[in-house]
This record gives sequence, C-alpha cells and structure tokens, in this order.
Amino acid sequence: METQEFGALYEHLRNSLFSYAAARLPAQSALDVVHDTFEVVWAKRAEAPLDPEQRAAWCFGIARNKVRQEIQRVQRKHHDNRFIDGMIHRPDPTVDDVADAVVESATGRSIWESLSSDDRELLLVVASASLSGSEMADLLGISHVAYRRRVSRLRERITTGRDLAEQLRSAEGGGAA
Amino acid sequence: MTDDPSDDLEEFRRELAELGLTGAVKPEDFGLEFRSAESFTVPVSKLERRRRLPRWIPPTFVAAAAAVLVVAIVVPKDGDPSNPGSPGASISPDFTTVAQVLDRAAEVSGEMPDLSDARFWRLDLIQKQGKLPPARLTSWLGHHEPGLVVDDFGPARTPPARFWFKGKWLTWDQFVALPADPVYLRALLDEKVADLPYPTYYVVKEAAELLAQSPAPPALRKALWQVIADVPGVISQGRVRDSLGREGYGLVFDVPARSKVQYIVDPEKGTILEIRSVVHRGGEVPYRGTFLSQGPTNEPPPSK
Repeated sequence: METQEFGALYEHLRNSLFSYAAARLPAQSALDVVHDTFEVVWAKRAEAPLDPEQRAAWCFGIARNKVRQEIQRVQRKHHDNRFIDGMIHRPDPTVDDVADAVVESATGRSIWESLSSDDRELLLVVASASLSGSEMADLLGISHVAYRRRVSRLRERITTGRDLAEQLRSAEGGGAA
Repeated sequence: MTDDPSDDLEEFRRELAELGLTGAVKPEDFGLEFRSAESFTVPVSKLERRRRLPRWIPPTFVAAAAAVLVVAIVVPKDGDPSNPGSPGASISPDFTTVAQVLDRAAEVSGEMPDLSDARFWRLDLIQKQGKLPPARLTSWLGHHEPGLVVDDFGPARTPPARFWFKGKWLTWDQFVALPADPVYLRALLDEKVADLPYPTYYVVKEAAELLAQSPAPPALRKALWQVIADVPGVISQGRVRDSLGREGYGLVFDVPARSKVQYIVDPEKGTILEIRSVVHRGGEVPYRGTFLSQGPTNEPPPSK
C-alpha cells in the first residue's frame, strides 16, 4: 500500500470507525482507537489485502480488536479500585457525550434513550454515511443478512419510539419536539 | 459515498434527521480532531510515535515514568522519611485490639503537619488484580489544575481533584474543609453509600480510600480513623506483613456471602500500607493495592 492509497483509506474509513468506537467508548478513547488502528494499518501495510473491500474489512477487524482491548482495559479496573478511577470516569462521559452530539430534539433524545447499546452502535455507524451496507456489516463483524435484519429492527424500534414520544407529548398537552 | 441502494440507507438517514437524531458523531463534536494521514506515514522518532499520548504530555515524560515504574517494581521503596504521608517499614508497639490500632493511627494522624495546601497530591501504589501481573499506578491529584494518572497503559489526564459526596463533587478545598467530626463524616458516608449492598462495608472502604489516597488534613484524617473505629465488625489479625514485607496490623472487615477486606495499617505512621480483597472460599485475592507513598508536592507531572 502506497502513501496515497493509505491516505484515501484513512479518509474513507475514519469517520465510521470513530462513530463505531464512540458508541462504546468516551470520545478521546474512540479517537485513540482510530489512530491506533491506522498506526497498525500503516505498520502492516505489506500484509494488507489488495482488494479494496477486503482491505476495509481488514481495517475493521483491527479496529474491533482495539475497541475490545480498550473496553477490557476499563473493565479490568476492579470495583475495589475505583477511587482514582472515579476521578477520571465519574460521571461516565460516554453516553452523555455521544447523546449530546447526535440528539437535536426532545423526541430524538427520548428515542436515543430507549435504544440498546447495540442499536446505538448501529445507528451511529449507519449515520456516519460513508460506508456501504456490506462495509458496515464488516465493521460490525456480522453477515450482510444479519446486518440488514438489524437495520430493519432498528427502524421498527425508532418508529415505535417516535410514536411513544408523540403519545406522551399529546398526553402532556403537546409541545415542540 | 458508496452506498448500497437496496438498504435504503439514505431514506433511513432522512428519517433520523427528521426525528432530531443526526446520528453522526465527529471528533470535532468533542473538541478533538483527527491526525493527518501524513502523521502516520512520515517517519518520526520512536518517542514521538508513543501511542495514546495526549498532545500536552511530552514523550520524554513517558520514558521517565516508565523508568520510575521499572525501578519501583524491581526495588520497592519503603516510606520516604521526608514525606510525612509515606507508609513506613516497621512498627514498635504491640497492640492486641482493633481499638488500640485505630486509636493510635488516629492520634498520630492528628499530630501530622497540615500539608493540604499543596499544588498536587501524589500517590504511588502497586495494584495486583487477579492473575494479572502487578502494575504500578502513579497519580497526581491537582489542587486547582488538571492532574495525571500513569498506569501500565500510559498516562491519562484527570480534572482538578474532586470528591463525590452528597450527590455532588467537592473540590479539593471543599473537601479539606469538611468538619473533622467523626459523627458528621459517618453521616456523610452513610448517605453516600445508602443504596449500595453492605453499606457499612462501603463506609469503611470510603474512609480507608480517603485515608490512603487523599490530601485530607490531620484533623480530618484523625476523624476518618475514628469513623472506621466506630464501625462494628472489624476484626484484628495482629501483626502481619504486606506484600512488600512491611510490618503492620491486619484489620479485617467481613462482607457476608462475598469476601473479606483486609487493611494492613501502620498505626505509628497513621497510614494504610495495603488493601486486599479476599474471597471467602479458596482465599483467592482478586485485588490488592499496595501503597508506596502519598503526599503533597508542588512539582507537577514532569514536563520535559
């Protein structure tokens, strides 16, 4: 992989990788994951697949490992060791940070809060708007069929969430979303 | 964009936008930014490529911290006599009861000089978690400025020191100004841990952590020891040694159906040498924190 190809790959994937990581990690850690991933990609460029689609999947595998390692690192902190940890992590910045960035209305907030962490992850990846469906499936580490099923379920849940939010607003006497 | 039309992604994204869910997150949303592609491909020195290094921490600091880590783990240091907060190496009296140990620790703590007006409170400890190898942790709690925690995963910036009480954070100055009254402190801790299982265990734990890792002034330290002394169920093990061979008194608090927590205390220095969790069955130690030193410093984390 030449410098130019690497640059194009980085430009193409970095936003989606950041969204994927930010669904599970604080923003700074998510950015570290992206940077660490591309450190590895460049260091191992001789091993990179030639096919562009496989190359993206290869990058996603590295990123998934980085996210997993970071989650393990955080979880490794034992409950008896939370004094210093608390200085860093309380209140947990992950959810609030991401929610503030993606939510622009009361309805959106209500829907976001009703979603599971898996659904939030999927939503962030889908919304990053730079990958194809098959690339997103690769990033999430699932088959394309499973990916489509999850997107479909997510859309259903969002519709349900929207309806619930609207019902609540009606019951409370209305109000802007 | 290389979208797959069959997935109706564009339509889905429009729906999200209409609902007020932009979904897209970018580093800029958090005051961060991506590195340039060139920064990965242009050769830089090994230290400059140090991963996970915040921009404000010079690479040389990481090297220095790593050197300290190696020295500290290979040659564990005993208490530094110039540092009033350092755990010591030996104890002389022969106490037989919990009250004797804690009363002496409280008395000694109350006679220490007040060093709580420092720029930073530095803590060095070695943690052992499960089967993982021991790991050194050094932290600088910043009085008015950000601090730093360096562990085996590298440095992590921390906000100025803060202490969680009564549903809000107390600043360093608010914390050290807490009334040095064991009854008041116990009520404060009771309120903090009320929703947790085994709240009395957490009262002991919180008080011990503040003694071991905070800039609490002498009167407050004394009162915290008195809080622990007033909690029923603490058992004395007599003289024991910590994992570094330092002698102290073992105090055990039993957590029903779970584990017991052992505190190794040096009453002559008013310090906690080590904290261990011990599982009831099998005696496994899932966590051990060995305190090497704590104390004030006006020197910030090394900057070059």
